[in-house]
Amino acid sequence: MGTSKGRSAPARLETGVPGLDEVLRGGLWKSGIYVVLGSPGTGKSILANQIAFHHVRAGGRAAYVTLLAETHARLLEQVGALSFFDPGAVGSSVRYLNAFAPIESGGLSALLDALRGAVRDHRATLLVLDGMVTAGMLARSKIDYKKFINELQTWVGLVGCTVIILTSAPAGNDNDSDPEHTMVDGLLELRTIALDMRAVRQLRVAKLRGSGFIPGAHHYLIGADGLRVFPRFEAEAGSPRSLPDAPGPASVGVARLDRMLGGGLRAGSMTLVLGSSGSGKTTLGLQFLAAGAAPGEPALHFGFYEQPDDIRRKGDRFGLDFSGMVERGALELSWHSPAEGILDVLAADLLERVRRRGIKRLFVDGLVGFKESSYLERLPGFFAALSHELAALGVTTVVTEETRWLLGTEVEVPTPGVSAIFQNIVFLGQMETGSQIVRLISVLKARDAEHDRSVCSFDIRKDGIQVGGPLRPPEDATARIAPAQERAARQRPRRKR
Amino acid sequence: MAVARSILVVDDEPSIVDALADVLRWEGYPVLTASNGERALEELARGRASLVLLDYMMPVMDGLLALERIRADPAWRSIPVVVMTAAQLPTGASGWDALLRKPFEVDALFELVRSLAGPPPARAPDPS
Repeated sequence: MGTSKGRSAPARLETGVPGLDEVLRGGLWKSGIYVVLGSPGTGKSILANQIAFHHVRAGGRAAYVTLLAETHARLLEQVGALSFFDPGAVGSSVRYLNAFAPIESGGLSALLDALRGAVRDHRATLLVLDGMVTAGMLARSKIDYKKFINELQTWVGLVGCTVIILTSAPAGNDNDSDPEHTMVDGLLELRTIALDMRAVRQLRVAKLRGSGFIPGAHHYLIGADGLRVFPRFEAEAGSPRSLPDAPGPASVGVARLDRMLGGGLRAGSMTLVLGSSGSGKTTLGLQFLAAGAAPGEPALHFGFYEQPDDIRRKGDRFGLDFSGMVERGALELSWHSPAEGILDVLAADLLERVRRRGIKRLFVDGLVGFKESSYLERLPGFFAALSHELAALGVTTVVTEETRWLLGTEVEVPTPGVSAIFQNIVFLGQMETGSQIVRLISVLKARDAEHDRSVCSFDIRKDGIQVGGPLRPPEDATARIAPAQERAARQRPRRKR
Repeated sequence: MAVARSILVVDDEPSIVDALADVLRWEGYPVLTASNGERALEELARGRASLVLLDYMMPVMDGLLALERIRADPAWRSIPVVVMTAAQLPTGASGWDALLRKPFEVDALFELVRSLAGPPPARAPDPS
C-alpha cells in the first residue's frame, strides 16, 4: 500500500494585538476565515493592519485587498502613523491591492479569481479583505454569496492562507443566517457603546471554531500602538490558584489600631477603610504604606485625586520619609484620572505595576475611581477577582471609600455588594459633641481575627494618626456602630445576573 | 505534438474540485475534473489522465468502487491513484498508490503529485 499523508496538527496564527490572543486563547487558526464586524470608525482596518504587520514580522506575507473601502493612500496615511507600521514592508511583504474592478465586472467568481491571484502571486499567508459589505451587495443571491465563501474557505484551507474579512454589515434580524457568520471559522465584533455620557469601545468574540475563548465584552483602546484589548478582568482573574503561605500580620502603621485588628492585617488580605471626607482615610493609608516600605516591602499608592507630588509631600509632613522611599524605589506613587476611566484598563495597569515591582503593600485611594469606571453591577465580581488576584500575589491591600455624611456614626458601605469581599472593614467617623468634633475609629470587621469591638477616639497629629481610648457615654457611639459591625460581618455581595 | 496528460480530480464537492484544479493548474499541471466515480471512468476512457485524485465518499459510484474498476482494467491498471478521504476506509480496502487524509495542505498534495506524475509538463527537464 502507498504512502499516507495529511495535514499536520492545526496551528495558531497570533494576532499580536495585546490582549486579543488572550481572549482568543492563543490566536486565530491558520487557514481559517475570520470576519471582523463593526461600524465605521470602530478600528477594523487598524486591527487588520496591525495583525498583518505582526504576521509579516513573524516571517509571513500579507495581501490586503480592498473593495469599495477607503483609498490605499488614505489607509496608509491612517496606519502609517502607528508604531506597528513598517514602511519598508509595504510593497514587499505586505501588498495592498484593489479588487473592485473584477467584482464589478465579473461578480463574486471574478473576485474569487482575483483573491486567488493575489495570494498566489504574492505567496501570501494572510489575506485581508476590506469592505466585504460591497461583495454582499453585489452578490446576485444569498446562495451565490454562500458559494463564494465556501469556495474561498476550501481554497484557503488547501493553500494554508488565513483570511480576515472586514465588514460593516449592520447587525439585523437576518444577521444570524448571514453566510459571513454561519460559514466562517470566527466572528469578532467591534463596537462603540455608551457608558453614561461616555463612549467606550468593546470587542466581542461571537464565534471561534475549534477553540475556547473568553466570552462576553472586552474593552479595547486605540492608541499610537494600535489596538489594545483588555480581557474582562473578572472573567479570568477569578480562576482558582494557590495562595502563597501568608507571612505574619502586616502592621497598619498605627500600633493601637493593629491591636484593635487582633495583631494587624493578615498578609494578602484586602481592607476597606470607610469614612467621610477629611476623616483621615488617606493619612491612615499613607501610614500603612510606610509601615511596609520603610523596612523593605515594595509599596504602591494607587490614587485618583491627589497627585503623586502632593502625596509625597503629605507623607514627608507626617515624618514618613516618602521622598526617601520613592527615591530608593521602595514606594511608587501613581495617579489616575477619576474621569473617563475604564475598569479593565485600571485593573491591567494596577496589576502590571504590582507584578513589575513585586509590590507587597497596596493602597487604593479610593474605591470611587473604580466605581466611576464601570457599571455598579460589575463591581462585586470585579473586586472579588481583584482581591483573589492580589492575594495570590501576596499583596496586602487597603482601599478607601467615602461615606455620605460628613458628621455622624451612621455606617453604610456606599457601593452595594462589595463589603463581604473585604476581609476587614475599618470605620473612621466624626461626631459632634457640644462645641467639638470628635474623631472616632472602629473595626467593623476583621475576618479570622479576634478583634477589639470598641469605638475609640483618634486624632491626626504631625506624626499621623494616634488612637486614644474607648469612648464613654454620653458620646459613646458604640450603640450606633455596633449594629453596623453586625451588618458588615453579615453582608454578602449580590449575585451577578 | 503529444498532448500533455492530465491529472484527473474526482470529488463530489464542487469547491474542492475547484480548489484542487486551481492549485494544480497554478503549479503547471493540466487538470480534468469529475464529480463521481462513474464520470471519472468516462474521463479515463478518453485516455488523457496520468494520475487520479479520487475522493472516497461520492454519490453514484464511490471512490473505492471506481478504484476497483480502474485496477481491473488492463488499460488503466498502471495509472497511479491517490484516494482522498476524511473518513476511515473500510477494513480490507486497498489498491491505491497513496492516501491523502483530508484536510490536507497544498504542499502535501504537490509532493504526492510530483512523486507519482512527475514534474508539471511546462517545467519538465528538456530531454535534449
